[in-house]
Amino acid sequence: MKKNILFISCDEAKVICDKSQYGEATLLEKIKLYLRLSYCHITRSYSKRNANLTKTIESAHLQCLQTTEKQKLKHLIKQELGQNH
Amino acid sequence: MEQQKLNPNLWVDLYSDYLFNYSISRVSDRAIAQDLVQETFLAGLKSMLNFKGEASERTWLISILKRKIIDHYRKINSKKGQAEVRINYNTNEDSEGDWLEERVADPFDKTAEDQLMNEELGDAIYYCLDKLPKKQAEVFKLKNILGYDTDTICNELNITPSNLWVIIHRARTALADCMEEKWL
Repeated sequence: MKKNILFISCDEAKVICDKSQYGEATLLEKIKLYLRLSYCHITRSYSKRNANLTKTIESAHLQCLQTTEKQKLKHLIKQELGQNH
Repeated sequence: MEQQKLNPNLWVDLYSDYLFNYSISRVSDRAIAQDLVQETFLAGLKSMLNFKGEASERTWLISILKRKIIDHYRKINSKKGQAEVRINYNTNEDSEGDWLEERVADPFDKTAEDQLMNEELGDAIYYCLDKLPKKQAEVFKLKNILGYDTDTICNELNITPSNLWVIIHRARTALADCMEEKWL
């Protein structure tokens, strides 16, 4: 159906909105999202909250360990536990 | 109250990221932060018998890490020896009277309040991340914190891209719910 090319469901719009937070939405997806944003207040409020979340997370400058670094730590703990018991 | 038990085999999966973020936001050096987390786990293993089970495993490990961070600062300060305060007043006659302007705070510099706010925000995000199902938290960390691209995550975790976006969507919604009141 032609209608489905541009008109998407709320859930689809949310997924596209998530993708666009990581710069991974295609041009067509963005057009579909903006069209939906123009008439759907649920998508609009989701999109606003989603953008706020991205901004907040970015401002925290979070850090975490790489998988290899975790493996080393696990190995060390295993070793220590082996020695103690 | 339920008696808490220690399970060191799960420490890395459950707490290492939180402890690492906690420590890097306070020491600002990746290698040192990593060492501190490692020392925390080792100290935890050594004093397992002292764990009374009154606090959660996480709270107990954080209290060890806090002591390690204090020790770290004590150590680097003692290395410096006696602290010397040197203020080199400008002796150049042409710029006489400019010394005060040179010493006023830089408004674009990060303030202690900003730093504190960031530490609190980081702790809050990790607190919320810990409430997510393991897979959601893992995908979210790989995507948002380590910045891996979609294909890499899909290969590493053996999931399809559409699966990944569903997981990301659930994780983001849960995180936003958790953080809404205070931070969004």
